[in-house]
Amino acid sequence: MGGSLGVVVCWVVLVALSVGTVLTGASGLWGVVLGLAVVKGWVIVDGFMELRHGPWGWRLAMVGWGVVIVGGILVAVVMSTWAG
Amino acid sequence: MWFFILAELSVFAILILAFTVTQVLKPEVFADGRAQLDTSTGLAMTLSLLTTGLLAALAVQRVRLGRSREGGALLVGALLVALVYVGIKLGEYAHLAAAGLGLEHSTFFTLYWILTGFHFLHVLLGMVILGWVAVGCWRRAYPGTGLSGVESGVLYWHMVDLVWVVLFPLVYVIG
Repeated sequence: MGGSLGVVVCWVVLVALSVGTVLTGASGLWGVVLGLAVVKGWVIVDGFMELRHGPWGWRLAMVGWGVVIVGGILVAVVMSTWAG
Repeated sequence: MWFFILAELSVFAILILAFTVTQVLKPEVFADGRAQLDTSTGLAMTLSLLTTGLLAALAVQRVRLGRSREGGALLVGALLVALVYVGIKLGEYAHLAAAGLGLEHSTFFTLYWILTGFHFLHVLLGMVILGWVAVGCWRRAYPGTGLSGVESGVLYWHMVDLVWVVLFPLVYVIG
């Protein structure tokens, strides 16, 4: 049952972060929005995919995917801001 | 299964980065296109996908405890919630198509349709997989020591969720 409680907590965190994404997006805080995306990805990998205690290489690959993609988006957003 | 998921994530990475780079090149086109999308619709789809993921994760735990039919029932619930996503997405597609915002309207919408359409197809495949696993649970096809089928099927859905938490802010939120 402890495991069930864990995934429910993960879901509550994900819902809260998703609502937070919309609220911070409305304020134009793009860096925060992208940071929340990384955290949400991390929660899915550790909580739903159960990689918190899994092989570190796969955990690194899954979390790293989100970090790299969001990093690329952040660079693009910064470049768009400068260009504008 | 992990290698398959990594391959899928790599394909999505290419599409997402293409969307991102094009946004740098055509910021006005992307700002205009994004203004046609409803953020609350995107949030509703996000909550639907995440809730499906929750029910699927709970189903795996029930099957591990030997409560296979409870797991199957949770997976049926997961499919019903996933249907909400499908309904919202199809409604959004119909609305955009009726407004003339199709694949050829602008660079933003070309990439929007390709990126979200590719993800939508993965959602549909994920639903087929969850349905297949639910039937297996109902037939008690997964003994306590043979859970890889359930775990792999549900893992695929979590991959779909993982991609969406990046797509949602990129397509709907960041202006």
